[in-house]
Amino acid sequence: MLAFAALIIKNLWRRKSRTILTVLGISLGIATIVTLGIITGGLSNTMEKIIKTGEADFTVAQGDVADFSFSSITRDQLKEIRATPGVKSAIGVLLGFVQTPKNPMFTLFGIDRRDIGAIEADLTRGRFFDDGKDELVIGKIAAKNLDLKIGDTLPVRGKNFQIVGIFQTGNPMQDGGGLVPLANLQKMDKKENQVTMVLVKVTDKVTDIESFTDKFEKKFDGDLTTLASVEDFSSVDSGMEIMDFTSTAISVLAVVIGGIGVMNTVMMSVFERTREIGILRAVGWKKRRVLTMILGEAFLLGVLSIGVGIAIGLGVIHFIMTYPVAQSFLVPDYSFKIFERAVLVGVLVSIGGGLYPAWRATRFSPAEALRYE
Amino acid sequence: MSNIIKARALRKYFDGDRIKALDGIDLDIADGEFVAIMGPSGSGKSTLLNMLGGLDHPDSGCLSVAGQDLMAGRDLTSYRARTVGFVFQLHNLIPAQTALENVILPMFESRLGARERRRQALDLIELVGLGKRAQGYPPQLSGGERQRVAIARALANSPRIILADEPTGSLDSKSGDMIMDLLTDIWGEGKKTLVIVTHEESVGRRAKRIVRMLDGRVV
Repeated sequence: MLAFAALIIKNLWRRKSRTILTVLGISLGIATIVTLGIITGGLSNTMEKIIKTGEADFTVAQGDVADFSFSSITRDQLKEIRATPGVKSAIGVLLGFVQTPKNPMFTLFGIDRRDIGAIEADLTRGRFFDDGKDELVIGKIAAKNLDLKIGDTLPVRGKNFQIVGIFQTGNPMQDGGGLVPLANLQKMDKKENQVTMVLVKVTDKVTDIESFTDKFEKKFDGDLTTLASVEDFSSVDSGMEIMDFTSTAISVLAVVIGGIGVMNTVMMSVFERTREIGILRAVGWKKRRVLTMILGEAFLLGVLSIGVGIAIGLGVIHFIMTYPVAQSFLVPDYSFKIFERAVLVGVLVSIGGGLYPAWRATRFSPAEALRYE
Repeated sequence: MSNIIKARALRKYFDGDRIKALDGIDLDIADGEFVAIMGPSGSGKSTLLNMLGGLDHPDSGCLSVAGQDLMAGRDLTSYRARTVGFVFQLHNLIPAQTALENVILPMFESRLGARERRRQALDLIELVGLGKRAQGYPPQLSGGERQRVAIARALANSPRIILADEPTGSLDSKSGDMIMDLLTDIWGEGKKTLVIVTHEESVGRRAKRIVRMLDGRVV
């Protein structure tokens, strides 16, 4: 068994450059799958945490918006949400996106001072802002990336916000942004009486969140939508869906392109070794052993590509995460299912691409193969 | 002595029936015999050897080797692995495998463990006088040495019959003589049947019997 495995390894290593190039080709596909998987998973976790900020049971956003950030809920609607039977608390949050010197998409969370406790932000330094003042409590990641400390100011849309505290929640989007008084952000963004989202907690009497949110949405006649999990997010943001679709499409392409790559490499190697295969058959090798040898070579290409692909993918993620904008949106999601997908693609590509050449190799007549020049 | 090879009215046509490679061969070879099949190029001698070795199937006739009917159309892989050992004109070794590994190749289908395979292959390499070159790769060996490795490989799995197709054809006369000495010694000591295809009279004369062929027939 070991000698047979050594033979397979030797066969691949005989054509080093071809093997290396093929492995590189397949591994780039696998690296893309790993990178996209980790990013999509990370973004998904970030969004899930946003929806569940402060252990909210669900989040309310405007219905039928193309992007979550376009959502707009009026003060009257917020009042109505608060008055809905079963709702224990409802906190309005306005999102604002501004450019800062080192981060092209710095997220501001406009919230009333009295509601800060509900979002469970841990103040690590300083204090929270006072309502009405141009004060900002900056997230821990943002403070590090933008090199800001208490007492510094951050220019936001022509106004200088003074940093009065540093907080963390564990959510990269929040920790990469900052908390400001709701009224100030509303005024600055010309969104008086509006919030982007409402974090809702229900009373103990509500046991079935799903039926509660169904009734809730009916009550607002589709003007508002509820997000109880990241899956609901697609109703207000097509970005995640696009990412998921892209990721799947790239996986499929990687399988097809990689499969053709493996098939080409193994096919060339089989034709070049026609005579050798004839010799092996002449000295008594069964067709099954020839098939196993060729498939083994293809499989080994796949295994190498999985290793190299995952390494490249992790390297790319490591590189991406050196950017502040990535740190403020994403905690890489190194979940098992991403690597499982990479392994599955690698195995599919190698076995799929190796099957035809392996089958062809068994069809050689030993006498004819021996005559092959 | 009983016949180990029995061929009757053996026919093999190529290119439709335009080329009559074998055109009704009748041949008996006794167990332990040393036979040379001789004839000019295109007389069908290599085709006949391929049939005897289970590398190709005859179109019609009867062929039985070592009690096995080779006409039954079955896969002859096991037959090739156990009953016959081939030595080709071109050594036909695998260049990326060492001499020793080339000799081990036919043993992959046997039930021997890796260590035993290696031991037997080393014995065979010693037998053909290449003990010190066991780890050499074919491109590093001389033509005569390569053919010795090919003989050692043919002896793997202890076949009853050795089939050699122009074994000295690509060697100089000195190396050719040494290869023939080796094959004759193996035949003499091992009680094996040796069938050699050659067009060289000097090689043919070493055999105990010469079968001459012309245009696909025994003459």
